[in-house]
Amino acid sequence: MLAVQLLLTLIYIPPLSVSGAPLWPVPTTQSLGTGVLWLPDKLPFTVAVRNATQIYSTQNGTGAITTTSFLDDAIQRTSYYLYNDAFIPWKFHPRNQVFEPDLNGSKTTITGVTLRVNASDTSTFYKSKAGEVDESYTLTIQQNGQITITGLSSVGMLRGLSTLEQLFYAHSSGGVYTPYSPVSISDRPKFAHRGLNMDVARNYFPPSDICRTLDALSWNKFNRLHLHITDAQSWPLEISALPDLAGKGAYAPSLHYTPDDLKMIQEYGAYRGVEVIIETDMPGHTASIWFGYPDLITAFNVQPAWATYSAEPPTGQLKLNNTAVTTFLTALWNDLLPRVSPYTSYFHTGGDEVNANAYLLDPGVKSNDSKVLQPLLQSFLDFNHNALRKAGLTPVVWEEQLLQWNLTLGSDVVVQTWGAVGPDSLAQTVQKGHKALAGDYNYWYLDCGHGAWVDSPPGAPSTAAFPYLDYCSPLKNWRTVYSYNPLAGVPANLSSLVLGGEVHMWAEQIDPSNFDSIAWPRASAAGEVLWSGAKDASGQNRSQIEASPRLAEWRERMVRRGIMAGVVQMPYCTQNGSMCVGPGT
Amino acid sequence: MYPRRAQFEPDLPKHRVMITRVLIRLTKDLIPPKVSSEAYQIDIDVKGLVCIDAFSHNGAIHALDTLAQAFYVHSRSKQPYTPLAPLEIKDAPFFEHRGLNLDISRNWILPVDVLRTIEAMGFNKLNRLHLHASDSQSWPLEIPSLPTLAKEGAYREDQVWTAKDLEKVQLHGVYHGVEVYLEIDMPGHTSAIFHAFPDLITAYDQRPWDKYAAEPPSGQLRLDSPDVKSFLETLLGDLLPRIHDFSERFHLGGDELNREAYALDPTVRSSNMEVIKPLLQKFFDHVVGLVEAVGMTPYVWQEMLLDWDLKFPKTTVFQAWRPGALPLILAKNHLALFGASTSWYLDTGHGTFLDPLPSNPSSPIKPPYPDWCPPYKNWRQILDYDPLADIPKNKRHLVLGGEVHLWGELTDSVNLDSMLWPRAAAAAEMMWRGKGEVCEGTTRRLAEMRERLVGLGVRAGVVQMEWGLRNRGGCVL
Repeated sequence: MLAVQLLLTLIYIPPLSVSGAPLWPVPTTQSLGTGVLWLPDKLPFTVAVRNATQIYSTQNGTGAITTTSFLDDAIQRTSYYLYNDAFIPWKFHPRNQVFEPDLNGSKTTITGVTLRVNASDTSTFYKSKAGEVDESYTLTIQQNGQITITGLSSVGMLRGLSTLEQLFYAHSSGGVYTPYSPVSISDRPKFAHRGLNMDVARNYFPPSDICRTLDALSWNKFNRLHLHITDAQSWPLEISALPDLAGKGAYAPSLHYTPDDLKMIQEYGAYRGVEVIIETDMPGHTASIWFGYPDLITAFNVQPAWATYSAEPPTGQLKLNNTAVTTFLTALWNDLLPRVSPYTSYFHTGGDEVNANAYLLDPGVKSNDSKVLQPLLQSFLDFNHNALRKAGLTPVVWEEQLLQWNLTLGSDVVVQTWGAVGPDSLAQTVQKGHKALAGDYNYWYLDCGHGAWVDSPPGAPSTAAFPYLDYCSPLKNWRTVYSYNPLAGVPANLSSLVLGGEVHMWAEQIDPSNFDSIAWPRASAAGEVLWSGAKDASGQNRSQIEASPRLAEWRERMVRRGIMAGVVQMPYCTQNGSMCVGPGT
Repeated sequence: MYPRRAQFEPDLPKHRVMITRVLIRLTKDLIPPKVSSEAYQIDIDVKGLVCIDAFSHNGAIHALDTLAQAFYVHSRSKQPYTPLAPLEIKDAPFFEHRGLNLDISRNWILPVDVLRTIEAMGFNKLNRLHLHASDSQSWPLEIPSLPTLAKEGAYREDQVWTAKDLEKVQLHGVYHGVEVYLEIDMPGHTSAIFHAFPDLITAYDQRPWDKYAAEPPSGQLRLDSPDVKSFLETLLGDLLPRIHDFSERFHLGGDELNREAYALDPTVRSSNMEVIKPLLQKFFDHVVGLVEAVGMTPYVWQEMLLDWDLKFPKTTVFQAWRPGALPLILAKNHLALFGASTSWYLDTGHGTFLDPLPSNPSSPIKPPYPDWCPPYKNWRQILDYDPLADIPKNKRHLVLGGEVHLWGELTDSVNLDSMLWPRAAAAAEMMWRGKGEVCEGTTRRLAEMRERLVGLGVRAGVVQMEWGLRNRGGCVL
């Protein structure tokens, strides 16, 4: 008997199925049943804002983003996804098993969706600063077919609708159902700033690719798209007041972001609860300005010794202590800032990887001594940040400005850390009392690990560089992305300064053809860390056994919606619950 | 490929020299056939006559694919042009077997995606598509005489490669100079057969799985079972004559055989190598005989020769995949294919598909959650692979060529292209030329090939950002 018991304890019996709905990101609390409810031919939505109940009807937008236009748009998208995802989750049930609800017998139908917003939106709810808008919501589905989403803002409604979409499946014989009735979900974000940094300068992305990405971000409950829109290699951003910037600095005349493109992108994001933040990186990463305005740039395209003057070719930085640069910046800000501020509260002025040697070649500086450079960088930053504040925008900068150059930043400034000065750069930033964003490159740089993009010089033995890794190899697989805790190493009393974080897509080796497969589903893993937190309710690191089939299912739904996402697991693993565990006993 | 705003396109004068005709001559005279049956010559003269001389149809296909790469579309004219006339090219492959091993079993790969893959392969002068058509996780291949095999063993009833699908894919290969040949991996990697024929499989889905297989689910064909023998006769009797219309070779698998599974096999009841080996020899004698009986050449993974020391006919080709295996196969005077996992496994480096077992505090599934063979193989590493470096000259004739591999744990139709391309093109160049050269010139050519692949509808990854392409010498370190 004892022997039998011992044997039984030695045999690992995996769970047959994972309890709960495969929601991504996972809600704060959820209680789900096993009842089936069907969608009617047309799903009625009722919106109740500030006690004034009205039957919802589509209205023509007037151009301004209002509670009504925002919710109208969100409801239309949710209706579309509910009826058109056509997602049959066969990969998550045992092989050849009948898992779909019986079509015979009585069917209970969803009667309608009520959105109850228990507070008034502010007039700028779609371009809020971190924490200004309450994104929490509760979602209930009653067994009689009534769905209710309550919250304190329209954005909260949007997050609840995104969750609702994930509770429904297509039936292979037609119809759409949820197998989880009754449902009670209460949900709120762990972090207020949940972003993706998308480099659209090193390779060009048509606005349609950015919009598709905004959709995917919204489904994953991200609320920020950081567009790194200029860099050394190209300047695709059209500035009417400075026509030669994109006119000569874009890769080709057709590869521009016109003012209309930018407005469309930002508005598209605003309607999806994703604020589009623009970064014009400076004073480094600006060599593309040279094509239009050569006098503004020092150390342009030094070859072959580029590594002395910048992190990657082409070299070139905005001159410091230079009135022509100041005039240029004035024109840039006067043109750009009023265009972007209707849709965002933030503007990113970059400031990463400033190369001191480039200023040896700058006639107004002629030094690489940080004692000489520091005050010049300080006045450069102050000038820019004052222009931002005048336009009502909050500055964001890369960590080097604070941690490497020790510049004095306003208390409003958000510092984006990436681990440039060390793995504790986030902790260092908050210890200096600054608001900060997480996103360590050892975890959240999705572009890493695909190999170097620089070639060996002619004649050099290729073995020297073998196996041609990039600087941040290896590739960050989704488990690594998922294991990143933005609060690790941050003193508890300072954790409120960590506004959130961003996952990064630098584009040396990414363009529209491979963007999706590099971004997704790994950005989703970061999305869950940012929305749900890196720890579960019991304070443990989140379980990969629980997460991997859920992420795999979420990946399938994203694929249904046109995102060419990578694979999480083989169907074999997900068809049998969590079978791909181990090894070990 | 040109500096920003450079006027690189030819003028459009009224009188342009037009290509008058393309003359293709299949001839045994101009090119000595011993160079390669795939050799070809192209001449474009200044008057617009294009002459192609080739020894075989496949040589002519290669010539046409090369010719296509000499032409560009003009942005102000619908008329493509070549800026390279007069042009003379003499070309022949270094290796005769230039393959891609594509796993269509672990995840569903649509036949239509394989058609596109064949087109991209042909364009890169790859000439063998090895379809790893069955494995432990699913059996997608329809076998009409064993209808339950795919019906029960596929992931889903509609995720089946019908006999018609297979024929269509093989025929498409013929037209693109790509021989599509099949692998039915055995006796390991067969547990998907269990769903239809449970009595043929030993050690199905055992725990802990790593004792019985390299990855879950465990399960192998029983080794000395008359039922297995007759099953294989039916299977190969159905399949081989059909695929032999388009293919000269058949891959019998034979990798990663697990001995412990045979302790549970009622026809073996031992994990002892001395007990298993004669039975394994009998097993392979049987299936190799079936392959040879229809006139096809057997292909087998390295383990059956190197780990089990089985005897095979000299015509057998052994596929090396572990680093260092190639010289060992050649030392036994057998024909071989290269493609070491450490250099040419395109699937690796994306992280493990396994979740950590919570009850195992020393689980090997731990940060940074690598798979078994990291890192990701970037295209330069693939191009730089030099399997002949350690091979003595008197053994090199035994190396028929190689295959670059895409196993399907983390690849399905959605991300197939970005996993394959442009890296498979780097492998293709290495096999065509015999040795890759990592230099800016290769980067630029590969980047141009990548753009052409994107034009063909292949979602290939990026080789170099535009700045690097437009500024020759700019991205060199």
